[in-house]
Amino acid sequence: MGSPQAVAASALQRWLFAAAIAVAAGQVVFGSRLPAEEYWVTMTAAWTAALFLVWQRGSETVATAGATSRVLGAVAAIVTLVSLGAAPAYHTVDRVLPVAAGAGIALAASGPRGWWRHRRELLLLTLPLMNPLPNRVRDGLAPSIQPLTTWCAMSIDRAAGFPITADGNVLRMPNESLNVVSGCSGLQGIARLWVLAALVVALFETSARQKIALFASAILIGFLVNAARIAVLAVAVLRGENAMFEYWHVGLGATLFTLASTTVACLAWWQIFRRWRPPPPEGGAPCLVH
Amino acid sequence: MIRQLVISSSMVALMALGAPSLARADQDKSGEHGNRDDRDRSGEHGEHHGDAPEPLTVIGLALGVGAIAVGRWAVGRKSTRKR
Repeated sequence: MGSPQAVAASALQRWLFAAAIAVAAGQVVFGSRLPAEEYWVTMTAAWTAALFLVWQRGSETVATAGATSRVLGAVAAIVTLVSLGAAPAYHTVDRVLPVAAGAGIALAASGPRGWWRHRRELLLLTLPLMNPLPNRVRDGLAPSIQPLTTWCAMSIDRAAGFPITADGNVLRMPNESLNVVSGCSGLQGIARLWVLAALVVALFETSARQKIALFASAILIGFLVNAARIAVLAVAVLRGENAMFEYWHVGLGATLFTLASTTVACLAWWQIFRRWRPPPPEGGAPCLVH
Repeated sequence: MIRQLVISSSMVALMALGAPSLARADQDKSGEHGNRDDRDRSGEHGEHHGDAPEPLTVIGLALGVGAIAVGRWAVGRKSTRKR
C-alpha cells in the first residue's frame, strides 16, 4: 500500500482519464450529428489514438495542477462540448474543439506544463484542423499542383494510346475538354493520407528516416492515384460516356479510388517498416511510443 | 499561480474570440465544407470540379484507420509474447 497522498493521486489520475474519455465520447457523439463525415472520422481517430497514448503512459501522467488550472481546464472542456452539442450545422471552428478540449484536460491534470507533457496527444488532436483540408488552404496550394496533375493524367492517357493533350489545367481531346480545378488537384487525398501517416507515427515506433518516408510516400501516392482518376475521367469525356463519367466522378468508382489510395499507402508503409527496422533499444523492454 | 492563471485564461479567451471569426470564415464558403465543389458542375460536358462526395471518400479514411488499429494491435501482441 502506498502513502495516502499516492493513493489520492492515483485516484485523481483515474478520474481525469475517465473525464477525458467522457469528453471524447461526447465530442464524437455530437460530431456524428453533423453532416461532416470526414471531420467526424478524423476526430474519432485522433481522440482514440490520443487516449491510447495517455493510457499507455499510465503512471507517468502526473496530476499536479492547482485549483485554478483544474477549474479553467474543466471549463474549457465543457465549453467545447456545449459548443459542439449546440451547433445546428458544421462550422470551421469545430475543427479546433478536439485540441481545445485536450488542452483543457491537460491543464486540469498537470497545469500549463501539461501542454508540453502531452504535446503528442495534443498534436494528434490537431488532425481535424488538417483533414478535410480547409477550402482556403486548398485553393491557395492547388494552383501550383493543378498543372502537374493535368500533365500526369495526360501522360497516363497518352501511354494508354488516347489522343489527349494538356494545356495548363485543361486536358484537351479532339472534340471535348476537361478542366482540372482545385478540387481535383489531389490535395484532399494527400491530406487524408497525411492523417493516416500521422497516426502511424504516433502509434508505432519509427525512426526519423521512416517518418520522412511515411509522409513523402503519402504525398506521392495521394497525388498519383488522383492523377489516375483524372485520367479515367478524361477517357470518359473523350468517349462521350456520361454514365461512365458520373460513375468515376461521384459514384462507386470514386470510392474505389479512395480505397485504392489507402490500400497502396498501407502496403507501402508496411514495406517501409519491414525494410527499415529501427535499431533495438539498449537493454530493457522495447518502448512502443516515442 | 499568476502565470498559470494568465496562460489558462488566455487560452479560454482565445477560444471565445476565435470562434466567431472562424465561424464567419466558414459561412463565406456557403456553409458547406470539405470537397463539395463536386456539386458545382456547370453543365458543360467534361467540366470536372472536384473529389467524390464526402460519404464515399470517407470510406478510404475509415479503412486506413481500421488497418492501423489492427496493425497496432498485432505489434502490441507480438511484443507481449516476446516478453
